[in-house]
Amino acid sequence: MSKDEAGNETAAAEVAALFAIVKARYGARLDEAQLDGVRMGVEAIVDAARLVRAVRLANADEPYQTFRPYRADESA
Amino acid sequence: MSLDPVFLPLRALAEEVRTRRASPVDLAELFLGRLEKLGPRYNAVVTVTRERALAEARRAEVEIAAGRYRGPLHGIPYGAKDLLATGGGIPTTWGATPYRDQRFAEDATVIRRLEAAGAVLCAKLAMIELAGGMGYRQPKASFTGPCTTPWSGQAWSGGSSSGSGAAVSAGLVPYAIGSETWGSILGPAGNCGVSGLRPTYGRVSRHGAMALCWTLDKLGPLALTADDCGLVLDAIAGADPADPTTDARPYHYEAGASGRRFRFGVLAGSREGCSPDMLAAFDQSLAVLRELGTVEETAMPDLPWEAATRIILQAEAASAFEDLIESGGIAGLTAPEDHYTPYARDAILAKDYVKAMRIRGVMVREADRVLARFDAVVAPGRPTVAQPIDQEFRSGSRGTARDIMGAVGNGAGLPAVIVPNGVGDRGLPTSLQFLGRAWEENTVLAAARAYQARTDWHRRHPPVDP
Repeated sequence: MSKDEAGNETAAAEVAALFAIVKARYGARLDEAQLDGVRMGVEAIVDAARLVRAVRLANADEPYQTFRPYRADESA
Repeated sequence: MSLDPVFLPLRALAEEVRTRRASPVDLAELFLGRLEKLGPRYNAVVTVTRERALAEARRAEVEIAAGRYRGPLHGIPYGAKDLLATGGGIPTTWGATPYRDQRFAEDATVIRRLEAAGAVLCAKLAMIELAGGMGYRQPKASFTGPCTTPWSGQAWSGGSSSGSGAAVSAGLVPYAIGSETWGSILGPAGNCGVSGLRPTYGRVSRHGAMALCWTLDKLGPLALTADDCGLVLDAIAGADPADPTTDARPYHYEAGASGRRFRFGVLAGSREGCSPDMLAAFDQSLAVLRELGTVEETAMPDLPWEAATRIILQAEAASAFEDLIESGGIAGLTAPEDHYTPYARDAILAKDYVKAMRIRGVMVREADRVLARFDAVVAPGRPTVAQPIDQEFRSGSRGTARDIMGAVGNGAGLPAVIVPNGVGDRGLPTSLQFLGRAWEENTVLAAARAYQARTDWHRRHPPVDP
């Protein structure tokens, strides 16, 4: 099995697992066509996640969103 | 009034008001009449705010007569996308059936700032339901019906600031406020053949605006010219304690004639997926831009710009509307795909969202490194002219089309201006966008003004009146 084939197999397994979670939560309110649409959405999410995971970052690369502790007496 | 106020740029219209050749009350009556008569033709309007408009117009008239002129928006009508909260019992529907009776006690900060500038709110304008955040893929995703571009009853206005684009294009208001998470100002402005400005993230307070995606949402103007956009931004920009993401640095619109030379870049991949008519118009624009300065090809480093921005958008939107999604309330939305698409977002892992936000730190630095060499990176404003009203479309935010300019611009929170630049297929407007470094609205506006000084596409208007 090539690296690409192995990666595709992993992605398919991930799509199946994540779709199963979504279906367990919401499947009762969706028909088959809607479930197909949800599955396609999960596939797109897994595709995007794999691209993001492939980027190598340094330990110091923080999320680009600042957290600030809060004090009511110092807020504007 | 010595000039016809419809399709008159803001600076000229303001001069009519300042010198009392035009009455704010008469202007309000004129544009209210157009909104009421022509708005339904395009499905562009949710609520005409007649009572509030006339009260604000009468106040402006009294103040100006007393010599208390507030500036270029004083006494000038405008419209606001219906995701901006308005008090006084005026509904704020977010374009969505589940919220069509929603009312807020207070105005959004942007509405308050425009009121302080003496502006006259005439309408809440149509929008794609929930600003398109549920994954819509066709123009009918609004409880007010599909909004059409005034250039064709069979073509879409674009979204999600649909009514803001259509209303300006049809001369129903001189300018409008829209919002952009990914494409929602530039899209309608492009489809409707008007100018639009997406400010730097944090330049304009989002307080009182529907939250779709906290780290991507921006508010900005759609108007007839780039100069108009600058005048409006001047009134709405600035820090707001109610929105901690607003930046403290002050903004003052600088509109002086520069005669400067510009450095333009063209991003690799930005022509990808564009239709031949858009590419032809872009090539013609490049010829004009070469008269204004230099044009050179450039490229962004290899990063998952679109994937990272999409993960951030979808995860935050799923959280912002968690209650509606979890309760099944999305079944009450108009677009059939909005009834189920958001459920897939439970598949976004927290680790992947955080990774996307970490990559964003790289994205903002890399984008700035590339953009620092230019006054603006330019590209076709949209991949195609306005789509047929009954046709599904592809989009970068859904991952069904490439949109490197949208991903870089929105992912890195950068300002962009879009202006009309020609006529494409089916007689519909084509467009040109200018993307700049963070906080460089004045630079991209200057470039767009210079382009508009050499072209007349912004002076062409659809055949609205009989």
